[in-house]
Amino acid sequence: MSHYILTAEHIQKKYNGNTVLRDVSIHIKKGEIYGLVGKNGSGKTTLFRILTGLIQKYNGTVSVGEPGVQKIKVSAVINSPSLFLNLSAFENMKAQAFLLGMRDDSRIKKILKIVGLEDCKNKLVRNFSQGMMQRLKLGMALLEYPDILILDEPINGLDPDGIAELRELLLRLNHASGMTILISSHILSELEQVATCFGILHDGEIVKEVFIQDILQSGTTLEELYMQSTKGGKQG
Amino acid sequence: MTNIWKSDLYRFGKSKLFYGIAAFACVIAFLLIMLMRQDIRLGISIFGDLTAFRKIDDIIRIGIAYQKGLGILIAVLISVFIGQEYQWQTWQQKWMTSKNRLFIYLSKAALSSAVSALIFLIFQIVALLSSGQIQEMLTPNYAGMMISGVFIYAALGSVICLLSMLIKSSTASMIVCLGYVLFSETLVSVIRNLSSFSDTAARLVEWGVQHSIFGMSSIGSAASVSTDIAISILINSLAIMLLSTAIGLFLFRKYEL
Repeated sequence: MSHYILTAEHIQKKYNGNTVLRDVSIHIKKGEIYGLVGKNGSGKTTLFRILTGLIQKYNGTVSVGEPGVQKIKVSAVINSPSLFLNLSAFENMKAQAFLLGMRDDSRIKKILKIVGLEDCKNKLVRNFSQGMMQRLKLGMALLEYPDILILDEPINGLDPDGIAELRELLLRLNHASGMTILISSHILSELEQVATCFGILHDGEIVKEVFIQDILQSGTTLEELYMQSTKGGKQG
Repeated sequence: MTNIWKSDLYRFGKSKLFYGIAAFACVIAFLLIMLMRQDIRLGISIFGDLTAFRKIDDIIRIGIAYQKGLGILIAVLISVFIGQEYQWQTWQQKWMTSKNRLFIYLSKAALSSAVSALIFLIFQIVALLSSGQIQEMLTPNYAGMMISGVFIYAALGSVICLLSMLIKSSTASMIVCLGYVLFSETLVSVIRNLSSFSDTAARLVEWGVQHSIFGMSSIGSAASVSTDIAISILINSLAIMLLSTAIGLFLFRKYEL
C-alpha cells in the first residue's frame, strides 16, 4: 500500500480580507508526479509557499513524511528570483551548499552539468536569461537530493529545447530515484506528458483530481478537462 | 547555525561593496593622516559642526564617532547585504532548507556586528600605521579606546541589522539606516529640548543618551578612555546588542518571507 508523502488538509488563506485559498486538500503519494493546474491568481503559488513553510499564517494542516522515515527533504523552485544576482551560478550553488553543510564541490559541478549550466558557471546571474535562471534554481533545489521537489511554473522562460530537457530530467529523476514531484504549469500539454496525477485549482478550491490513466481512457485532454471543470464547479 | 553563518560569510566574501568600503576606509584614514603630517589641516562635517583636526590623535579618535563617516559606510554595507535577501527573495533558500528563523536572524546579527567592528578596526589600524603610532595601541588609553570602539561598532551593526531585517525593502532600509546614523545627533538634541520641561524627564533622557550608541561614541571620541569608561561602554554595548537582537527575533519570526 502506498503512503502519502505530502498531505494538505483544508488549507485556507486570506490576504487582506481576500480569500486566496478557500478549502484546499491534496494528497500526494511517494513517487508520484502531481500536476497542479490553475489560472493566474488561482492560488497555486500561495499553496506552494504554504507547503514549503514560506507562509506560516494559514488555516488547515500540512504534513510531510511517511512511516519509518525520519526526515523528508523538500526542495522547491518558487516563482520568484530566489537567486543572488550579484553572484555567479557557481557562487549561488556554493552558498546553497554551505547552507546544506556540503563541502565538496563535485556535487555542484555535477548538478551544473545536469541543468546545462556548466559552460556559464562563472557568469553573473544578473546576465542570465529567465530560462537560465530557472535551470539554476532547479539545480539549487536538486543539490540536497530531495525526496519531494516542488516546482512552481518551472517551464516559464524556457525555450522549446529547454522544456524538452526539463521534461526528460524530471522523468529521469522520478524514475531513477523515486523522487516525488509537485509541479504547476500553464502549458497543459506539457504537464500532461510529465505528471501522473492532476489537481485543478479554481476559485481557491481543488475542483477536480484526476489520474493520467483516466484522462487517457476517457479520450479527452487535460485542457478539455480543465475547461469543463472550471466552468462547472466542484466535481468528483 | 554554523551552516547559515558560513553561507552568509561566503556571500559577504564575494561582495564587491564590502571590499570597496574597506578600501575606502583605508584610503580615508591614510589620506587624513598624510595631509595632517603635511600640516594641511582639514575637518569633517556631516550635518553638524566642523570637526577640525588639530593633531593626529584627533583623526584616530574620529573613528569612534560613527556619525562622522564610518557609520554611513556601515549603514550602506549592512542594509544592502540584508536588503538583497528581500529584493531577490533569497530567504526562501534558507527557509526551505529547514533553517530556523532564530538562527537566520542570529547569523545576520552576528555578521553585521562583526563587519561593523571590522571596518572600525581597519580604519584605526591604517590610521595608526600611517601615523607611526602603532606602538600606542599597547598603552592602556589607546587599548581602552580600541576595545570601546569595537563594542560601540558591534552595537551599531546590531541596530542597523535590526532596522534592515524589519524593513522589507533594500532602498527603504538603506534610507532609514542612513537616517539613523546621520540624524542621531539631531535627534538627541530634539529629545533633550523636549525633555527640558521637567528635571526628572531631563535626567531620564540624559541617562538614556549617555547609554545610547551615540552617547557612548561621544564619550569615547572626546576624552581619554579610562578602564571604568571602557567597562561601562562594553556593558552598554552588550545590552544594546542583546536588546536589538531580542526585538528583531520577536518580530522577524512573524514575517512572511
